[in-house]
Amino acid sequence: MSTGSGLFEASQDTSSSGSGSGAGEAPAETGYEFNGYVRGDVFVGKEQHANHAEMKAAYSELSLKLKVKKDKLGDAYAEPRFRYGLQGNAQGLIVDLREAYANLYAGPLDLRLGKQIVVWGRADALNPTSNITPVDFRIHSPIEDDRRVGNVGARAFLNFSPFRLEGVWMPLYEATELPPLPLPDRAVLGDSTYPRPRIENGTEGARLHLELPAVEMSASYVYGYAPLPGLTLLEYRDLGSTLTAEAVITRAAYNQQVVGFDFATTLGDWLGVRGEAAYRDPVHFREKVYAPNPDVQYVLGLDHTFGDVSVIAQYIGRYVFNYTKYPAFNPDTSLLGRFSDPAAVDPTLFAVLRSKNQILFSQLAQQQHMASLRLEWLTLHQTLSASALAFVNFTTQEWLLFPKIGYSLTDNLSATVGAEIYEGPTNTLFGVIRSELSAGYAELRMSF
Amino acid sequence: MMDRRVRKSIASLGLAAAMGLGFLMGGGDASAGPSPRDIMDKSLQARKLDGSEAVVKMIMSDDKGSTREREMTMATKLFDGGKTEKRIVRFTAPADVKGTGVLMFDYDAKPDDTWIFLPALRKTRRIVSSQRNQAFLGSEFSFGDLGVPSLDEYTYNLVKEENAGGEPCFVIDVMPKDKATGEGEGYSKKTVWISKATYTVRRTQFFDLGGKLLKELNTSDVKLLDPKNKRYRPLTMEMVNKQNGRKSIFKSEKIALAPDTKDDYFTTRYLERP
Repeated sequence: MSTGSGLFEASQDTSSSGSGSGAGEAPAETGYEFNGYVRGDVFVGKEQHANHAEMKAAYSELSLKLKVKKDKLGDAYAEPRFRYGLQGNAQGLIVDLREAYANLYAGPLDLRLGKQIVVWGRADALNPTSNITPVDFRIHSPIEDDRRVGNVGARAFLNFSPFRLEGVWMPLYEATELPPLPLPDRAVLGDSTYPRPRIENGTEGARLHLELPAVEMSASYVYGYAPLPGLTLLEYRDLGSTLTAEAVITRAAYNQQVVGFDFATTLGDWLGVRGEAAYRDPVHFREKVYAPNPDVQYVLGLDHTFGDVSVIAQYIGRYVFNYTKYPAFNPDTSLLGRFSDPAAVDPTLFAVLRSKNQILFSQLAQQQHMASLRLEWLTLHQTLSASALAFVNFTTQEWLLFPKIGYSLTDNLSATVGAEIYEGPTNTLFGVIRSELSAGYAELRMSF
Repeated sequence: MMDRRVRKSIASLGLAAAMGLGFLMGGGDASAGPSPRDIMDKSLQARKLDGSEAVVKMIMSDDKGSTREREMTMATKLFDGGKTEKRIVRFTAPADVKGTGVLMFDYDAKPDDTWIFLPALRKTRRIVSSQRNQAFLGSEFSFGDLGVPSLDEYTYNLVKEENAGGEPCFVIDVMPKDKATGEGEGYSKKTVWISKATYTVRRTQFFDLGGKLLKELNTSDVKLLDPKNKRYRPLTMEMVNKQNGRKSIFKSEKIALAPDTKDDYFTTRYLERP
């Protein structure tokens, strides 16, 4: 049995390699190691419906990354984050156990159990096949990964090269979060309607990887509640008068199955090629105003480096099946006022909700054409970077731009300034969230 | 920023891992009266260890004396009868790149296959090999310095014999056969001092496309790693940029011959296990 010198594996479990020079000497063993960072961030944007600036976020954050060292059968990892300050409308101390899991390595089986983040797909930034881990778009952070939200579950790999069979089970539902969409008059957002923690309400996924030296690909299947819930009517709430009732809207999760495929390869040493596609099939979507129509999303990307500038360009498409357009409209408020007659109100209200949900689910057209571009330029001996992620939906006229400049003052201290700009017509998702999420920012981070 | 800095930089690091650096590597028995091409060929062929594991520190400093450090651990192993060298590299410091890993399959006759695992991406990504004239991790080493060149792309001239690193060396001028090769790596000429005893490179001078001295590499702490096959490695390599005063040092803090290194290391499965 091959074992090697043990140097490679042992030396990964120490934060410093020390100064010894003896060949094959494993570093002194420690039971665990600590890393992390402290950072301060300020995000400034434009106040909604006003022409002056406001704080979108201002916080300091301590992250502690604890790794329990590998032994023959496994290891463990946890990352609590302590954040104090303003984030959106909330101010105070937030303690977030971002991830905490244990790994078991048993022959061909790798098992991870605990709170974790699962990301699928080989495309850049937009992954149609990734439908397990929710995202909190309200979080202001220069790091895209910070918006991913961990969830408790199990993830296992069965390895029989060149194949890997992956299984995921997430028994608890965690929702993707967005700034709230505006509701019509006399409608309020009530409690969410999410699945209870029962066995049958979990999300299950399987993914078969084929990994060859020249190309890798995978096919995946997910069944469970979609992370992004839709809007539906929960109830009419009588406020004591037939003219003072209100409609209570709820965020409701729907079941779906998603079949996906992705691949990546290179053309010589010149061009990287990657692609990803997923067919999303919400269960009984016709009966659920809060569920999207079935659709297929596909991404084809190329990446190349021009000198000090790296470029990733992608085409993204979406086709919606059984499509019906529900145009945004201003409901008849007098009709909505007649809650004493729900039968008369329902059609109007549901039309509004369908329109809102088409915005949420990015189904504003049957066929959509989009593109993304990521650029990064490294200079000054790679201590200074200027980067930008751009996305445009040619069909709906939505776009976003995330420019960023970072400078490493020392090996552990870095400063970053940038912006997150969302833009779009009024009745589009980016048009709705732009005022809350668009902001310029500055960050100072010390890693340890 | 560190993501790409690392991604771009460690694609060819496995060569540095063995602390011989591409054609700068060396080892094996000297034989009488070899041609300069034979010397280079021996130096190149002998660089391949059956397997190795190492802990490496890279120290970069500017002309004002400020320094930055990178630490990494790595493993290499030959497959397909020596035609393919597989390498895995994992950064251990500084903190913001810790856990980043690169897996590379280096083939004799076709472009490399390279994957990177970035903790912030949470997945392994296949990447394209980097350009030869680009700086490695912001250091004075370029990818071309670290990579294995095709010997057929150069002409060789044995200039003289001279001591370097305290031992007798062959001194060979290495010149690109065509303009594209020179521009591809950014040098009009390299002059290499190769140990007559161990075929280890002890010094290299790099001349820019205008013919001016650009950089000088000196190696030290030469260690016999594989007594059976007489494979040597310099544990320390210092590259000084003669035009801007910057300096980069590759130092093997630990290195071991490991022909039975686990095959499992050289898989994306292991890459994703920081």
